[in-house]
Amino acid sequence: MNVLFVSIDSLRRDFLGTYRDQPTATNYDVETDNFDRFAERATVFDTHYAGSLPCMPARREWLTGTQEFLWRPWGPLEPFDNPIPQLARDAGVVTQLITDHFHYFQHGSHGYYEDFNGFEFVRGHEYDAWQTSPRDPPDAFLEQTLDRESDPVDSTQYLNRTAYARNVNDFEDESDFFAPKVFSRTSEWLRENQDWAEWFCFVDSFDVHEPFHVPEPYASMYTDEDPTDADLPVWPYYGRVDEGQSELTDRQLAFVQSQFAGNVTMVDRWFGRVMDTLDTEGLWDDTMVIVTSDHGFALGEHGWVGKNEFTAYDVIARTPLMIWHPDHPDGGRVSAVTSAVDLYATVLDAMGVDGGEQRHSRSLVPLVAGQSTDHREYALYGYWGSSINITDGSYTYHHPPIADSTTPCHSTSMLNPHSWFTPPTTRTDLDAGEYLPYTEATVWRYSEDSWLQHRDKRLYDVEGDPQQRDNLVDDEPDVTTRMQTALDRRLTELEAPIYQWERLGL
Amino acid sequence: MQPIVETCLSSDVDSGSFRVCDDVAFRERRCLEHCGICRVRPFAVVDGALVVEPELSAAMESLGVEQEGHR
Repeated sequence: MNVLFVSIDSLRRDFLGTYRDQPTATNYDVETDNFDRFAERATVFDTHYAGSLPCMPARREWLTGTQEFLWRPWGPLEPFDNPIPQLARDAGVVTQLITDHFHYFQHGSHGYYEDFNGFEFVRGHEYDAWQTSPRDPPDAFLEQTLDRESDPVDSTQYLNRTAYARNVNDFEDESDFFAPKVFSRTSEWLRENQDWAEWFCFVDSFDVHEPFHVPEPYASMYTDEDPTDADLPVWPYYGRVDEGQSELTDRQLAFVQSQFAGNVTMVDRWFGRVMDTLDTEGLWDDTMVIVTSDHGFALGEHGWVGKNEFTAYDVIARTPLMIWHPDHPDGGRVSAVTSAVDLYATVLDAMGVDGGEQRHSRSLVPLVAGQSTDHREYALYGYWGSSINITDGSYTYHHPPIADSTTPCHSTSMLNPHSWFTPPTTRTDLDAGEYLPYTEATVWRYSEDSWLQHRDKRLYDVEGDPQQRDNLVDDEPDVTTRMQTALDRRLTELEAPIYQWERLGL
Repeated sequence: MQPIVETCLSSDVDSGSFRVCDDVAFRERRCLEHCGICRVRPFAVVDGALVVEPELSAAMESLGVEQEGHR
């Protein structure tokens, strides 16, 4: 069986009609006709959660079945990983990556694209080190994307937002933009590669990730503002909306929400063309199609914009997942708790590829086939070095590290765990050994500061309080104890390092 | 209005050394998205504006903050 795996970065599930009529962040409907059309055909997962966050940790979960955040942060694939494209091509399955995701080619995350038989990188998104001219992009667009003090146009510093303004300087039509290119190329690839007996195509769209820069008609679809107004940002800083460098006026926040919504609709329309290709080429009958996202994006919820800096609320961690399986075309809804890491075993299962031990992953095919209604009692998720979060689908529990604690990092090569995108650093404060329970490989180990997304323990009833407004940790002591016990048990099952109990004060 | 000073984990500025001052609100973020500056000199964001050394020390002094040093 072929597998088409489509990731839409930062896609909030409440923006999809199949999950909610109207997003919680807006007072208007957002057009997602094609995702909804896919949902009618597919099995829709209602309690799917991210695992390791944010972007590249999610990709290591999908591609290697490793729930890495208990041991290490954002980083490269490790030599002891068994990535899907490597296993697939060894089994005679041709593999293709189509992406505009610059992180694959940036410091801190090598090893992800190299095993594919083919990869296509659509250039220019976010900080992509692509164009170096014009040195001085148009002023009005710079005003919407950056702070001239921190990102001077004449600076050669790493991660200068001017790079994006240069990259898109020649864009004129919708077809110049990223999602249109990624999904057009996907349709072409599907048409051109039917001579292969079996294939795995991983489409990793960076849209709807920021910058939320979209062409018309999408830029004006959900706002009456002038989308080129220099006072209205398309690339907000992560942080509080009411203070600091991330502060936004109500008008600016509403504009950011409208551009995010426009980006969702643009991706939806171009994803629809891929569905049309699956129709015209008759590919549905022998192709599993997976549509999911790595995480969400806060658009003012709880006073935040972005991700990473705050509690891993459901707006970040409860992600969309829809799977079409040609042998089980009835679709339907799955309420069982599932985890991002499960997509690794699911893809291998569909292709009939033996992955050996599947580390932390469990195939979702039995759920899709209706052979099972249970999957996981709890899902674990979080960011390395910060809180560990657990859910049973009814409650979420968020346990912060002790202030001033440290978190060891285990990796063969990731040595700057708080600054992923800058050149690798050397260290002298490390030791090496067989520290991972799922491999005999030797890794470096060293400690870095833990970081706090929140200081208090938090419990939310996500059925009765889906916006997670009321912390019930004191009001529901029995549930709190149950979730803490489940966290302790899950860490034990995963053979998490002993320091996790110490840094969490468990 | 209380000034807000934002630092990040990699900015080589120990926000803990600032907290002796009650008149300034300190916020330690995981990342302030200035990694290119962060790798070459200490910085903080003061009331939304980027401030790098050596101006950072002067800015802290003007806010009445006694800085114990960089880590």
